[in-house]
Amino acid sequence: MKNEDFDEAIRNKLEGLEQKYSQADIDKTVDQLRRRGAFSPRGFSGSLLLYTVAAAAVLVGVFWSVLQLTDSAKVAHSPAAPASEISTPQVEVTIPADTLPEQAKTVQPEVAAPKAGFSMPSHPATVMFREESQSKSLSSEDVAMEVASHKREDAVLLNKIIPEIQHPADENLQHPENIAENKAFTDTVRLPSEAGQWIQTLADTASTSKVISQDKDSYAKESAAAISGSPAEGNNNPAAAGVVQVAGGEVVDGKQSSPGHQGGNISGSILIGGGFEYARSGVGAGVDLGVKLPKRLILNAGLRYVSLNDELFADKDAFDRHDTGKINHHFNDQLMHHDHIRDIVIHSQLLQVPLSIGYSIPLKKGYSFTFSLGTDLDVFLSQRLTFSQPPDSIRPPHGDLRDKGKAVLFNNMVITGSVEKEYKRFVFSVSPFIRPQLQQVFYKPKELDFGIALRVYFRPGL
Amino acid sequence: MRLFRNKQEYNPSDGDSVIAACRKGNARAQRALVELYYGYVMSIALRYSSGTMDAEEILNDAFLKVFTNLHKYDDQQPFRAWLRSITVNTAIDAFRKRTLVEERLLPLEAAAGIDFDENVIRDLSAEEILKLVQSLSPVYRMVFTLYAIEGYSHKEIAVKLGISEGTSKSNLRDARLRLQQKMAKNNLIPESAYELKNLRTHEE
Repeated sequence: MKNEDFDEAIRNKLEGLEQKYSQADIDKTVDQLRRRGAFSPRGFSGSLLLYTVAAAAVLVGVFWSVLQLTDSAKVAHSPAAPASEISTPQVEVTIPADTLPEQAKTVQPEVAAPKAGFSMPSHPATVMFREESQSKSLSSEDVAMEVASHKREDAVLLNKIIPEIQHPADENLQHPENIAENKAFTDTVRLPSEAGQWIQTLADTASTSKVISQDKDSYAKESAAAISGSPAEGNNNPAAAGVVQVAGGEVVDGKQSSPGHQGGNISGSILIGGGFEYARSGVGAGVDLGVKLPKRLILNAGLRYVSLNDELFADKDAFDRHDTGKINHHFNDQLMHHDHIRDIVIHSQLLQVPLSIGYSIPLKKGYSFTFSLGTDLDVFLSQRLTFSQPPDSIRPPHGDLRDKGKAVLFNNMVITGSVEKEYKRFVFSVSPFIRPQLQQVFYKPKELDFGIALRVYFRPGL
Repeated sequence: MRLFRNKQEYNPSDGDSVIAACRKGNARAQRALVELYYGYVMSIALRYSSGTMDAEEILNDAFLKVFTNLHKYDDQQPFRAWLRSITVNTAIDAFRKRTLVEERLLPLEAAAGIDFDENVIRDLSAEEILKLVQSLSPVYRMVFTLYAIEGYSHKEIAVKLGISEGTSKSNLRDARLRLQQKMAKNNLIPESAYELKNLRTHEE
C-alpha cells in the first residue's frame, strides 16, 4: 500500500470520528474557562460603561444648566430677623457712596439743605429721595407724604412710624409714651448695592419712638432721622447712625448666604443625588440622600435598583445541585415536570435601601475623603428563569418563568472609601467598596463582592 | 423591567450569531460556543494526545485562546478552520512543553517493514485507529498527525517541533510502519527499540 493511500485512509477514518460528550463535560470545561478568565464578566460590557458615562454626563450637564439659570437671577434670600434678634449685634458694613447707583443720592448737608426743623445726616449713607423733595421743608406731614410716595422696594420703609406720621393725632403727640411702650418696631432700610443686592438693616426704633415728643419740629427731626437712618440727636442707635446691619448670616462678597452654607462641612446640610455602581455581583443605579451631621459625620440613605449577574445551569441536575436549600421553591414547583430542560438562566433584580454612616475628612482644593460603613437592605426581589427544552421534546422549545423571591432584608455589610470633589453646589463622588455577605442568600454569589460607585450630589440652596 | 438589557441575542444552533454575541460579551453565547464546538475540538485534541486527560488539557487551552483572541477572528474565513489551527498549535505547544528536546531528536530504531494489507484499515473502527495513533510515542504521533492528517510539510513540521527535516521524514516513516504493525498484529508490536529487539529474538 502506498504511503499516500495509507495516510488518506487514516485521515478519512479519524476525520469522520464524532467525539461523544456529555453536559457534564461542557459544565466542567465552562467552569474551568470561567476560572481562567476566558469569559467576560457576566452582565457587564464596555458598551454599558459607555452608555452609563454618557448618561452621567448628560445628568451633570442638565444640573449645570439649571444652576447657571438659577445663579443668573442673583437673588439672595434672607429671612427678616425676628424681633428677638434685633438686640443681637451683627456685622456692620458701611456702604461707600461711590458704590451706589446714580439714583441714590448722597445726602450732603450743603447739597440739599433742608429748611429749618430738619437736620440732614452727616453720614454718607444714602437714602432714596426724589430730587424735588429734598428742598422741601419737611414737616411731619411732608415726611409722611414722602414715605408714602416712595413706597417701593428700594425706598425707605417705616412700617410703624408711617401710621404715626400720617396720623399725628394730638393724643399721640401728647402721649408719646404710648408709642414708646407699645411700638417696638422694625425699621428696614433697603439700599441698593452696586450688584443690585438688597441689604436690610435693623434698627431699634424703640429708642427712636421715645424721642417723638410733643414738639412738632423735633418730632419731624426725629422722623426724618429715622427715615434717613442717620443718628438723631441723643440717639445712640447704631442703625440710626447709618450703619448698615445685616440680618441673619454673614455678608460675603455682597451676597447673603444661608446659615447652612459654608464650604462642604457645615452640619445640617443636605445632599441629594444619584449614581451608578458596578460590582462583581451586578450593576445598579439609584438615588441618595445625604445629611451632614456634626463632627464630620454623614448619614446616607437611598433607593437603588440592582440587576444581578445571570446564573447559568446546563441542565436540571446542575440547577438542583445548586439549589440545595430548595430556596427557589417558587420555581421548583413550576419545574417539577421539566426534568430534561437545559440552558437554565436565572436573572435576579433587586430593590435595595442602602444605609450608611460615614466620617468625612476634608482635603485641599475642595476634595474630601469619606470612610463609610453601612448595609444594603434588600426590600424586593424579582426573578426570571428561562430554559430550553431538548430538541425531541413535545413541549414548547423555550420557557420563561417570573416570580418574586423572598428577599433577605439584612444580609451584608458595605465598606466604602469615597473621594469627593465639591464644586459650587455639586459634589462628585467616586466610591470603591467591598461588600462582604454577613448571611448567605440564594440570589447573591457567595464570593466577596466589590465594585465602584459613581455619584453626583446637589446641595439645594436654602 | 431590566434596567440593562442583556447583550446581543443569538441562535444557539447558528455559529455565526453565537460568535457575534460572544464578541459582545454575552455570557450565555460563550457557553453556547463551547457546546457547539466541543466535540470538534476534542476530536482534534485526542489525535495529539495519549489519552483523554491530555486531550482535555489541550481543549481547555484551545478554547481559552479562542475567547481571548475572538476579536482577531476574521469573519471572512470559516470559523472551524480558525478553530482547528488554534487547536493544532495548542497541541504542538503542549508537546514542546512536555517532550524534552533530546527525546525529540533521539533517533528511534526503525521498525521492521511488513507487508501491509489495506483491508485491515477498512476493518478497523475510527475509535480503534485513534487508539493506535494514541499509542505511538509522542514524537511519532505528532509528526504523523501533522503530516498525514493536517497536511503540513516536513519543513513546516521541523519548524513547529524544533527538529530537522530529516528527523521529521524518518519519524514519519517509522510512525507509519509502527501503525501498520500495530494494525496487523493488534497492538502487539512494542514501541521501544529494546522491546523490538527482544521481540525479534523471541520470534526467531
